[in-house]
Amino acid sequence: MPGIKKFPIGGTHLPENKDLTTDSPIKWLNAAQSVAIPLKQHLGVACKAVVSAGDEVHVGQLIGANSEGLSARIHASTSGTVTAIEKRVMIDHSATECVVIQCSNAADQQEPGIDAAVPVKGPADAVPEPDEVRKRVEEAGIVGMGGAAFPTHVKLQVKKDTPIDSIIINGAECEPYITTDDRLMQERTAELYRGLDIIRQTVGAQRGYVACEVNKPAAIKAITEEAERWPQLEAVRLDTRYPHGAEKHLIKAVLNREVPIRQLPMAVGVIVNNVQTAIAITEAVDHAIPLTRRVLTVSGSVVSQPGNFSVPVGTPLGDLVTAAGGPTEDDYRLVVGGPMTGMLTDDYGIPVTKSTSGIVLIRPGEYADRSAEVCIRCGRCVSVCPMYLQPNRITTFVRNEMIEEAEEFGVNDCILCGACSFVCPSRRPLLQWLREGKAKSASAAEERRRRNPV
Amino acid sequence: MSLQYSSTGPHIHSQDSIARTMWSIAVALLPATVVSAWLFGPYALYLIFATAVASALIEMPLNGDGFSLRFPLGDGSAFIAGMILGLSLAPTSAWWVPIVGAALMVVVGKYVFGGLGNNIFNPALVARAILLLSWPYQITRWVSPLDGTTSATPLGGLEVGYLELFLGNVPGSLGETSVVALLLGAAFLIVRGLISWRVPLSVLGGAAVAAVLFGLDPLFTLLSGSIMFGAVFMATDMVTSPTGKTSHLVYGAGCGFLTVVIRRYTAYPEGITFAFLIMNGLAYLMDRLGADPIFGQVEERKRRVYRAALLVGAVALMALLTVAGFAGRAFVADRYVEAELERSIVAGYPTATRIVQATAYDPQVSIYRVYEDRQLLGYYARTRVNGYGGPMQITALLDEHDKLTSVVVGEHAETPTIGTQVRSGGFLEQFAGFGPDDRDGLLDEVEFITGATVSSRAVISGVERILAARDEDAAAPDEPDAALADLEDGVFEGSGRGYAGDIVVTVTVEGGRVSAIEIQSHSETPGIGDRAMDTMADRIIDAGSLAVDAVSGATGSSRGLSAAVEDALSGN
Repeated sequence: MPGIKKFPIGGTHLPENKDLTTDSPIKWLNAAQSVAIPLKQHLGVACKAVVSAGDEVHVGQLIGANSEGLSARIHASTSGTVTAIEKRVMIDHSATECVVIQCSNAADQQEPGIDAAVPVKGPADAVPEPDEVRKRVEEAGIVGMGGAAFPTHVKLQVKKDTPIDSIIINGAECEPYITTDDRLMQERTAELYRGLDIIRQTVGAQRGYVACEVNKPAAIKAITEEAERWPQLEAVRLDTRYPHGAEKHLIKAVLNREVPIRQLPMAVGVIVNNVQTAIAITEAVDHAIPLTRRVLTVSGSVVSQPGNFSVPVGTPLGDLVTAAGGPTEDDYRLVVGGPMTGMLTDDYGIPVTKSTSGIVLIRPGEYADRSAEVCIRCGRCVSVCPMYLQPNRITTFVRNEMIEEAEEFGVNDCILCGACSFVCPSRRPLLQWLREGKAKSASAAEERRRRNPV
Repeated sequence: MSLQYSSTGPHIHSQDSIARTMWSIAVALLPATVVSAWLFGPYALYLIFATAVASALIEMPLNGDGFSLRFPLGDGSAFIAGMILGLSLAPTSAWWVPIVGAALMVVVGKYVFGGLGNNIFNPALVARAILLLSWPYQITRWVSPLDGTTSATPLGGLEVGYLELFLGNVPGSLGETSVVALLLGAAFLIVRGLISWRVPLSVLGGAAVAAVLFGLDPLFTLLSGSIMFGAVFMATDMVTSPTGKTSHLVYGAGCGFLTVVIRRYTAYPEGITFAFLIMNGLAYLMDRLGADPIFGQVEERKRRVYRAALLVGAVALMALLTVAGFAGRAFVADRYVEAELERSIVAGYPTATRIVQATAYDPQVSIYRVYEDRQLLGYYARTRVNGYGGPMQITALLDEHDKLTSVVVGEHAETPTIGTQVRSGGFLEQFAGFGPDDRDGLLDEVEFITGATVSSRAVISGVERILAARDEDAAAPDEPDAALADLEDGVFEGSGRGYAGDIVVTVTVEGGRVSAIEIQSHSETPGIGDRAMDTMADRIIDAGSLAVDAVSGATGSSRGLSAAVEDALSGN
């Protein structure tokens, strides 16, 4: 098919399993009893609580902020009483300070979503001044909702020496099972384009793109039709290939620009934003709604009613499983995030954050059983690596504590997509070892700095 | 902490496994297997599957899992390596060759290095190399699939068309003769993503380039022998080939190029075994030094292209210089030899008008007949012997009665003042008058130079060798009438005794001259004898004479061919 774009080398095809939820409209979900809202849901420093135990809070109220360093504000996602400010275990095994809120009655939880009576702004409507946009985005506590959780108001701060000409909305959603962006592109298309246009005008870019893989025909149809209303925005169809959602590969596919290693998309004049982030920007800028909820997919082969839900931040994972009708079998594993890059857990109390894209319940037969066998040097990990690395060799170095060699072969350039582990016929946990390698490289660098302070 | 260990993704898997990979390769080997069974008969199936099963059985006690009744063929890696080795055997291999080959492959090729994934060299090729060196006859006796007769392979000099090569209707190893079956297997492997197209394609590319450089027919080079089989199934061996995209290309091209070099310039008509083993040894280095630029190393990629262009340029320049150097050296050497020959002959036979090189049955000796018009003046002969300090050249002049008139010691490296005395007139004059008949007396009658026994003995042995060669030569037609002229036109058949049996030829005479010599049957050594006979036939036709040099290293076959031609024309 002409007009379908893709990155040139590497990548792999995954079993998509999106048909489970692609047609399920987003359901509004309220917190069942209590939420635990982490004070750090972003890249940077943690927020300090501005409420204390015993306080009554209402939905959308500021509960955490930090003026020093990189951070993003935190708001109450439900009305109720703060019962505690305590450390809870997160999905990355860190213990993070959380504001625990006991919900009041159900009616008070209702956040004022976008009033259906107020039309979404279109191409003719003005966008506030860049500084005003950044201020509203900062006040709403918006972060990148694709996973990295980088504070968005900082991302919209353009440096003079690196002008931005293009904005790409990342609707590739290449993780199997997850249909969050898929549904949002179908249901909230106008807000998505409005958000993209706000970003575009704020950073002074000429063009904006909404890119989506062709395995989501309904979403493609919606964004292509909507694009006709917006002269400077367009929809881009991507081939279905993992990892198209990786920022640098998305840019390569859409604009054929290669981001130099260790540099940000800014270096080639591009900013990439997540679908949901763009919608959150519309809500914040046009309607002054803070980011307190997110849409996520609850799916998997053992979920009785898989679906897409809009849930308050801080909702425990257990509530989501319950909302989806619970598991149909006893033997399954719970993955937070997509099955490729997500984390496995058995702690149902872990709260949803602003960057949780979904939870997936995986059946053992499907599960990547890690009984690693010897490497037969087939080179499939090398051929699928979208970064053109040699995962086989790097992991050998990592396992033999040869960190300098691992660095020389680019362990720090790995984007942790897991394509290598997925295809490895010997089922070697390459991604695990690559993570280890990055961590060891970071601590080695730390050690060097400690010994030779500049 | 098992949960933490497994808590990172991916949590799904392609469900691929080593076993699935290996059995897919087995499927790719099926077309070649079926074709070889069809061409060479059921014994071919025995050879292929006996090797495969023996390999799997021998691996069982070694792989640490012990005997497993549930899945006796293990992960299939030994089985498919066995199939590949089996397919590379000659169709007439003895029954024990598969078993010995399998044992060599699994033990020496694989487990010496630590088993699957750890071997540096392709186990099938290791086994093949050992078999080739230990039982050359077992490995290189080819039969024609049509009539079952023993024959040379196309590489050994058999003339066949491209189509036969493509379909596989030619003598050769079991699996390698049918190019079409191999291409089917290759297509399957590439589509399944099990091999990179870069490897087989660059093997063929490297071989084609080498063929063009060395003046061979590139298409014939690609279609004949096991290069196609090697390109698809051996160069792509996962464990022993590199993994990067650039290194795939370099590795493949190296395999192909070296194969042709070995075919062309060594005693082995088939080069892939040693060529691929050498490249196996370099695979790791290629991945290390030739790592592809990382995504985002934009500048590095540009530098790479520039460097690659430089490298190609440098290699081309070197190739050009080498070719020029060889040509120049050959030209100078020819001139030098001719000039020297003329000088010494003029010195020895001032009246000489014509020199004819005679067939010397000892390849170490060159003999020329010297004529004044049609009058034989004598013989001029040359050889090299090993003296005290290195090789030295002995030149002898004989009169028409085969008696030595003078002996000259040419280039040498003997000890100055002592060894060099062998060049003195006094020492050399002693040889005058000796002939082939009384050469045994040389050692007794020639007085050694005191203190230079080795040098003296060397000169004597050189002269002896020349006389011996003259002795044999005397039996052959001596007159320039060995020239094949004014013959009756027609096709004549004759036979002569070669190195390993009778050689039967048909000689075509047109316009009074020999226009073609065809070898009908022979039992000479494949790759050596048959090549020599072709060369001899060409030399006889070109010279229009039977008095031509024998081919070095295959004197028996050369002589047999000459005798057969002479026999064919004896009624003429």
